[in-house]
Amino acid sequence: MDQPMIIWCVIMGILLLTFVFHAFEKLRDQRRHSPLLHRRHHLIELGKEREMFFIPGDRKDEEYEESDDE
Amino acid sequence: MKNPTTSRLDFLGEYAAWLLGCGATCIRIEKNINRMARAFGVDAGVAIMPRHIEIYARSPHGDLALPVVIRQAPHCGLNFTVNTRLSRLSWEVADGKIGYDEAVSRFAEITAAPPTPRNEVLLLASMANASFCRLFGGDLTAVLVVFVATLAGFKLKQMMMADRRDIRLVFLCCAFFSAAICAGAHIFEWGSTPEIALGTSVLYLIPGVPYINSVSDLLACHYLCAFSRFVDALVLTACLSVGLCAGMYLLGLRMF
Repeated sequence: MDQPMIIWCVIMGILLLTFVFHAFEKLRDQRRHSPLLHRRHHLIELGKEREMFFIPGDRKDEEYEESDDE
Repeated sequence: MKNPTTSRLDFLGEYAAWLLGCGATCIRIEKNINRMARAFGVDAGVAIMPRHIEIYARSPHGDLALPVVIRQAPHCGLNFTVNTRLSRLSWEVADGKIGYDEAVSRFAEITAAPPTPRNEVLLLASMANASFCRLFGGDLTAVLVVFVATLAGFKLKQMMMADRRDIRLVFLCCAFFSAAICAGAHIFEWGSTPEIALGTSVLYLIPGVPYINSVSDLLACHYLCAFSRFVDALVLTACLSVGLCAGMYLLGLRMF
């Protein structure tokens, strides 16, 4: 392989890397700004049972803590 | 509360600034403004600067000094759809089909319209440049190479413009990469017309509209705008030439 061929391959590599990097950045920005993905979802999570059985109108954790202090 | 003439002048100022921003010639701006001003019953004059518009009005009896409106051209880029729709709007006003209020809402609608989808522009520009290659006698391989080179170069241009890079740097980089891709036809001996592929690889970057507009402005005696547009186009052409030469030099194509 002579020199111009190597240089050509290097230039194409740089161009391809630019496109890949840009696509990756765009994807990351989309994920960051998407309202659905605003809260990160984990496959496995440890939560409190209050989060599962919360009914609107129930007192929040902080309120419980405050009342415990009293 | 603004008086009716002032609000009409405001509207004409915005309208003229948008025309200037989307690549209309000075003669078109003057004609459209005069046409609409007559329909609004305002005796208006226009002063066109390279980046600004100044609209002034006189009362029919010349005894009342009215305010002058100065507007900066928006950075909306060349857009012939907006240009055409704004011109059509001026005719509808002049023909009495729509009044001032309707014209204002139509103007807002035109300026708020989304631009042509980027991918559509990318594909069409690549096809157009590949067609140029065929017109200049390139074979099928050269046409394909030019298509790919334009696709990559134009995509790079869209990316860099979106990142708000300097337009001269954008032109230089795009010309360099497009020329480098087409130089591959020379290096790897693809097809029988690699020199045509290389020559047409950067044609999509030629600022044709500013060149044509500068000649039009020159003929209409708008020398300041003509000179400004010509120098703008000249700088961009110099940048793309540097990119092309750099690509050729780096890949060992000593054609000159």
